[in-house]
Amino acid sequence: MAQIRKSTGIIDWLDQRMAVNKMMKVLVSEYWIPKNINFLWAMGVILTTLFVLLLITGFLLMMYYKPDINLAFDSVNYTIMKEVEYGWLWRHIHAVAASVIFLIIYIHTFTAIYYGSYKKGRELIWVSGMLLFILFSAEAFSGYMLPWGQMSYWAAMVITNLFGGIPVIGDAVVEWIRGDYAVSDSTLTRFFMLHVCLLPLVLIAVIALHFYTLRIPHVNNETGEEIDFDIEAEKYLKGDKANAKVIPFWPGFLAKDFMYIGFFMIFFFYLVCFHFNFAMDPINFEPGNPLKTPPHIYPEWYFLWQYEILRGFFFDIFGFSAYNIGLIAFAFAGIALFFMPIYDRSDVVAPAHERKGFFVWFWLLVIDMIILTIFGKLPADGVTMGISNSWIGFYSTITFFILLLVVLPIITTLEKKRGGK
Amino acid sequence: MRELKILIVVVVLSLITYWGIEPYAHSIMHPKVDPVNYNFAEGDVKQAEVVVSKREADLESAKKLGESAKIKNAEKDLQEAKDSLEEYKTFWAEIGAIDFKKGNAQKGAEVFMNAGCAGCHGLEVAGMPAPMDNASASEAYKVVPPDLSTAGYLYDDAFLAAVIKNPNIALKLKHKFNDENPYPMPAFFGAGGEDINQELADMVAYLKSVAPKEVSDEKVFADSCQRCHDMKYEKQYVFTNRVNLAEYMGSNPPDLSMMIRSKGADYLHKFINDTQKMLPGTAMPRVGLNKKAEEQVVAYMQKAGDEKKAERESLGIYIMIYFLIFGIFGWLWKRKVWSELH
Repeated sequence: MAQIRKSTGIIDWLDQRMAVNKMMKVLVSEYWIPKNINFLWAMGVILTTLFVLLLITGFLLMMYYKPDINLAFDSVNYTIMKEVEYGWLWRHIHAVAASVIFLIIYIHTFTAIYYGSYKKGRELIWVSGMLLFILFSAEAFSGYMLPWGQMSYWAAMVITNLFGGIPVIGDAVVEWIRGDYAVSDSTLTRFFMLHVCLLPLVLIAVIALHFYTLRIPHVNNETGEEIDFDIEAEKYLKGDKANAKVIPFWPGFLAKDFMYIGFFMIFFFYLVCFHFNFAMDPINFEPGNPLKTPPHIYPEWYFLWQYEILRGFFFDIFGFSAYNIGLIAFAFAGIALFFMPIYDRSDVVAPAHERKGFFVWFWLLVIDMIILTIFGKLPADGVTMGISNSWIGFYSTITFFILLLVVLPIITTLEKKRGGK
Repeated sequence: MRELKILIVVVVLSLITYWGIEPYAHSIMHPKVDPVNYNFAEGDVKQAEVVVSKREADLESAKKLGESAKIKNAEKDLQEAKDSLEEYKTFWAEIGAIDFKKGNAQKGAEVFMNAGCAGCHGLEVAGMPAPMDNASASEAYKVVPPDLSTAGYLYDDAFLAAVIKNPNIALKLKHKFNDENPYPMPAFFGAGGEDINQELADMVAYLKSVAPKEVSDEKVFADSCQRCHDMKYEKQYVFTNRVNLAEYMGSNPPDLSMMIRSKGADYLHKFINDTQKMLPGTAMPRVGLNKKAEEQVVAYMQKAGDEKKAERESLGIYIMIYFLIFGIFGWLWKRKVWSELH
């Protein structure tokens, strides 16, 4: 055991027992961040803030929520919204944060793609991030069902049904997930457990992993410059702060992030208090009704692009049914971005505007995903500018896959041959 | 400046996505309809014309397909729509011919008795309670007939006269009730007087004269909606026996507690004003409230479904101011920290 002497204060007392000074250095004051980053690098801290908000409001909501199909709707819309003091505030913060967190996740993800932060030493940051995306999707989906609104019910019905597409055991899997032949009370209670217990535990663990994967390769920067963090850190510690290319996580990085969080929260609470329904489907204010199908069933906005890929294939190809092709495409779309470090054959780490072909590819991907998102909400039987929506869905689905699986490997291989840029 | 450029790109892309999945998608899913029109004569004829032009379009596309069965059906539908348009035109022209200024409340009271209105309806304000309790009335008519005390407050002259003269047309329930399956309230063919229009004007004048000048939102809701709808978050429950009601309407009408959130005020105004415009074929009658009463109903629904609106909005301002100050301090701190980093 270490030699324990009489402490000079609380910090010292703790330091002798837990090395808090060392820990603070490693995690905060000597955790180095490049200096040349812009506000897009604040998205991680904003996501953390939103996650904490979700966690806290989730606990408060859980005090009054009843996971029972006969009570769930009223426990949310009556008890929490009308009887509990500020219940509406917790509920709206929870609901709006659940939606906004996806907006920020997408910005965060596309930032990583734009600056090439997924490759050359940072692959694990990317993979753990994509894992978080999948987990957040599961968390969002299981939570969406809990208020037992009309769209929650039917979304759960449709999504759980998808597992029926698994060969041979499909029907059994659907039944196993639902705990019943149809979406019912047993489905609600297990989704409740998943949403408030199992998934948050896993999420917190993977968030910790995501942070940890950052510790050694460090975050990327605006120019993709390869910084020798040891040399730059030494400069900083010697007092040459102006010339060092790095800043400590605290106070340098967080000082900026606090400002961003402050301004972001103005926007966030504007949504919560004045425009909460931007994220809530009005149909969800009708209680779930197994006997009445809503005219259009669609998921929340952040799943729309995947949903459009699911229904993008509406005709059979070479004897494969449209349903199965769509299902495979959907399953693949869910994990497609995981493999970015594999599709991208080039070693160049630089912002997209310094990589010509990649720059065009990046914006095509963004536009394609926005189109998928918008058409994911529109009724498939409609016509837009003289083209049927089904065909637009089909072409943008195909475009998504070609961009990722064909175009990206080709342009990055060419880039490599040219020797970068 | 680069940061500002990036921010603009992020905001613009988010807004395009937002526009696509909210206003645009919803405008496609809920095609535009004419605005609320309290002049029912004009509104009904217009709406009937809309239906005719829709049926014409359907017939055109059926002809393009060339299937004779479909064309036949489309032709039949078009003919029905045209007949319906004619019917509305005639009906409202007849109502338009009534001179309500000549209505005499005293005579109206006599007509009211002679026409047998009190056989089914109560008129509490005039000391006439409903002839049956709610349970027996539910059995007898499948839905409890309203007490007419506030009718003069809830409806304007023309609608009152129209509903007395021919409730099935005025309430837009022709698709549901016909000669074999008549509407529980019979049409009015006169109560023995010489001029049916005069009798209608008298009855309207009578109902207007007995109606209270001010009615609470809750009472307006009770008299207009509660015979069929619950508002359980306000602890208001249907008057009619639920079994009879489900039989009468085809299914149990929904609870209205959350309707303001699931449909929104604009939809509700249009729906109350003309059910068939918003949900063709629905079993719910057109409510026909005048502007003031309709606003009261929607306000009551707002209270039930969005009670904390005022609190939400006033607190919202404070929270936003708090974070503005937080952000300014954050900015000052950042300036201090970064002054030696540059």
